[in-house]
Amino acid sequence: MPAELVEALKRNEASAFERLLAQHGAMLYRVALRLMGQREEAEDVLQEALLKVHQNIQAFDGRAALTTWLYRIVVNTALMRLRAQTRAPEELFDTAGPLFTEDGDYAQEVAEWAMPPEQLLLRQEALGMLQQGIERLPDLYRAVYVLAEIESLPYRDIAAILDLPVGTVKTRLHRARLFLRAVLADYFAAGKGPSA
Amino acid sequence: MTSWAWLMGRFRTWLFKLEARLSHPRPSVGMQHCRHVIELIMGYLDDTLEPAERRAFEAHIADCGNCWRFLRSYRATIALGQELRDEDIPSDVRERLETFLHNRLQRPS
Repeated sequence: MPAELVEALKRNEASAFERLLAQHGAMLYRVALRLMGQREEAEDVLQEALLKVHQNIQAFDGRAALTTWLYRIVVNTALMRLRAQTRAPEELFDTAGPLFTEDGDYAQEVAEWAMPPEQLLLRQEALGMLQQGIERLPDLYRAVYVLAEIESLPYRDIAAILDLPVGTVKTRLHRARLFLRAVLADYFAAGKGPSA
Repeated sequence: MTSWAWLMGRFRTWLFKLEARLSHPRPSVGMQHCRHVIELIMGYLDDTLEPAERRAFEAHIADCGNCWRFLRSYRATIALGQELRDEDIPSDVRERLETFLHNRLQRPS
């Protein structure tokens, strides 16, 4: 099925691009949206990425899966655009994890989280806060986070898409999670969260 | 319903701690620092720790309220992030992209 789609794309059939959008459009849009943060910018990224697919499909040799190749084009297109903008420095993470004493114990007690899964409104609020946190991540950490957490891609695939060692992918994901956890901590800490 | 779910959650937590405590009565040497435990959380959740390391991790978690709560909040952060997966491409965006492609494909390259 993917091979058939690739062949149709190589023949430049308009219907093949419609199929591409139908089959992979949602995942590509999600990645572009989470990386760029704005719908309009995500659409611009997708437009540019689809153009690159059109221009480079003849060179696609099938060594990587089509989805991996598509992810790579969208992520690289988004990162190229983000490079032109001023983004968060990596020092952001210095205060992201818990603080420890010299003995390696917590400097402050870790609060219990109150997670209200059944309260949709509060959950939407929390998701909004999470999205804001994702937008504050440095670009390459955000790319890893989006591909791992939101798209659930295996570390190996993410490493191939971003051209990074697997160990670096894992480290960046862990640090991104620690940062996002810290962003959400005030919200979810029992007694501090929103009053239901 | 809410209090029932909360009670069940507390019960599961208690069961997990009890099981870990019975399986590993004494924390092993080398896993005494919470900082080290935080570094291993991802490996624990990915199930890539060595068996001895995993046992030591679980023994520490069972005895340390801070690490236990940290693990729960780390898991909750992951679960919340995964909810962002539901986003679909809006129909108007898809239509504009199809029009864009249609126009570009008709142009001689």
